[in-house]
Amino acid sequence: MEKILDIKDLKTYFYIDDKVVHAVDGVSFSINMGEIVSIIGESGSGKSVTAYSIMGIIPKPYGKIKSGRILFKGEDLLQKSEKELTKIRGNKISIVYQEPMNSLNPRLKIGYQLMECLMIHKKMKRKEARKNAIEMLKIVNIPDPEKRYNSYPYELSGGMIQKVMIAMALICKPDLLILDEATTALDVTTQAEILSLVEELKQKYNMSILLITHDLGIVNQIADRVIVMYGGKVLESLPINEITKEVLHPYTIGLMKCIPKIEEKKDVLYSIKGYIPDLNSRFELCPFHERCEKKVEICDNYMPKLVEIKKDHLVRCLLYSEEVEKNYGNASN
Amino acid sequence: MKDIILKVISKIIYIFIFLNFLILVIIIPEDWLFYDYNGGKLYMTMDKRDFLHIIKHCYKSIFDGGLGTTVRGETIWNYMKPIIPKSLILIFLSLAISLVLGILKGILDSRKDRERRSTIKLMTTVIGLSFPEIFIGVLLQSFMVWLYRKGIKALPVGGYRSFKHIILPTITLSLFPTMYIARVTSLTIDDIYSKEYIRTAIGKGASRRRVLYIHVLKQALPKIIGSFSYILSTLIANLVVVEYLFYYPGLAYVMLFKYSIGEKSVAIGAALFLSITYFALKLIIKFLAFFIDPIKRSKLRMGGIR
Repeated sequence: MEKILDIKDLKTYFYIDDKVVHAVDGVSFSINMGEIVSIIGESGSGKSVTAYSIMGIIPKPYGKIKSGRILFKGEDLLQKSEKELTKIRGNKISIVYQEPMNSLNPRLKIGYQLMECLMIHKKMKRKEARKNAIEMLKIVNIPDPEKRYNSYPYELSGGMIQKVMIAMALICKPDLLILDEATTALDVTTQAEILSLVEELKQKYNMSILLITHDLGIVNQIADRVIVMYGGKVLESLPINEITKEVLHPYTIGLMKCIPKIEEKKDVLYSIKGYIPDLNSRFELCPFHERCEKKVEICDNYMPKLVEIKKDHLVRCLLYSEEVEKNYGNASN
Repeated sequence: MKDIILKVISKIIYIFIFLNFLILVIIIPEDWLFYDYNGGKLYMTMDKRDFLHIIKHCYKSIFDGGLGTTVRGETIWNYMKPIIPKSLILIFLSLAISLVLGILKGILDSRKDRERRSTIKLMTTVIGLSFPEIFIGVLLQSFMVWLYRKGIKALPVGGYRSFKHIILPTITLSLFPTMYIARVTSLTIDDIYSKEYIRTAIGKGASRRRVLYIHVLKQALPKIIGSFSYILSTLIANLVVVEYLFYYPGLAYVMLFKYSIGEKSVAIGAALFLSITYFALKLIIKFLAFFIDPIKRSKLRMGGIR
């Protein structure tokens, strides 16, 4: 299957005073045409920074993409000029952010913010752009779209604003849609509505989706493949049909255990002990080794590599070194 | 609407209180308090009735149609008629210049999404803010005199006959507001650049210029206009210095000059017009700040504003 996005050894760091935060440290993954890939992980694991790196909107002046390649349809986005990137952003790659209430300009009408994309990328005249914007509001199930077109963001609910954000992201029919925790701030009913809308629109426009979330329920519902991130690194990458039965990395196992089951009555819910690591220092060892329940002696000496255990299932853990060695030779260096 | 009416009424009350205070300061003789050094007692040379009489007399003069008369018998209103526009021109020109230049300098000063802010740009603003108007005025006058000595007739250093005479007072008067607006603009722009909707704008492919003009400045403008309230008070205070320094026959100059020669009723008239000008401009700015803000306008349409 043709790859639409191929990220290779991406390193995005933040330089704050004399400290360097290794937010994304050597991340590699790819997304195929029409595929929904989900990145999961705790807050601070580098999921959003990965998305912002793809979009080229790393918070300035502190954030910098240190190295790596982001190939979008075979072209390296990191080699493109700012002018070239503005032609891709919102047009070929779109993003929907986590906080809908803060993501729209409060002093610009919803309609203007929507048709701005069309005026920038499709060079449409106001009248034509207005017609398209209202049509898009209809598609995302906004009630009374003509009235909402002239509304200001403060007049809309969080769910409705998120639908507007989705409309804005899709108005130019992008090839890749990034949903950066797009449903986190919403109630479950709106969440379900937004997700079914995304699925429906994905079919309609045949686009690929990068879904960033820490909600495994959502992942199970719509993703084709899952990437587990921790400490700025990819710890595991697996197809969705393996997420409930064949997860390998202790961190992913821990994450799965964290999902409360309605049939099990427990006094205390399971949680992974410890805290996410300080990203100020660069990891020479597995970033999860301090919290790992299955930690072995070798974990204090080596940084595991991300290796393919079986088809489409990659894991970064020394526990699987035997199998790895069998298949690939010594990889634990 | 009710709020707006209440605001106008409150401004009228302010003017009334200010006017009473002004009348008392100007009209009441300096020796209304007498201290007996031998007896160690404090005596008042005027009683309550005298105070009330003075105030009543002043109000009678104000509301008799001509605000009283000058020593030459001319009504103060007629005397003020050609003077008021001179000060208004100076104020409006200074405000217009400072608004345009201040916003431009603010855009230039702001860090936007760059790593560092330019210290030199910031320094020029801070220096401009710290220089007193009298110093700038004297500096400009000295420079014009120096040019005149070199045989160049650039600009007149005082008086009022033509438009040329307004240039130096306007420059002097608009320096502080320009720098103040630049500072407010630059800080507001930097603050807005850190907002998430700017990230959204960049994320949808808006160019740097589009982000600045459509998304940042539109958001910053109500805040910049809001800062005019403070600018206006400083502007009126500096008007006294500038008009006196440039011998510019406006309201502030007349107020000071007439007070110094004992024509107190004219001084009160000038002060009254100055205060009316101040409150009227303040009201205009409030309206402008309101109508420039689309959210407030929309809330007003929906009848939800308080």
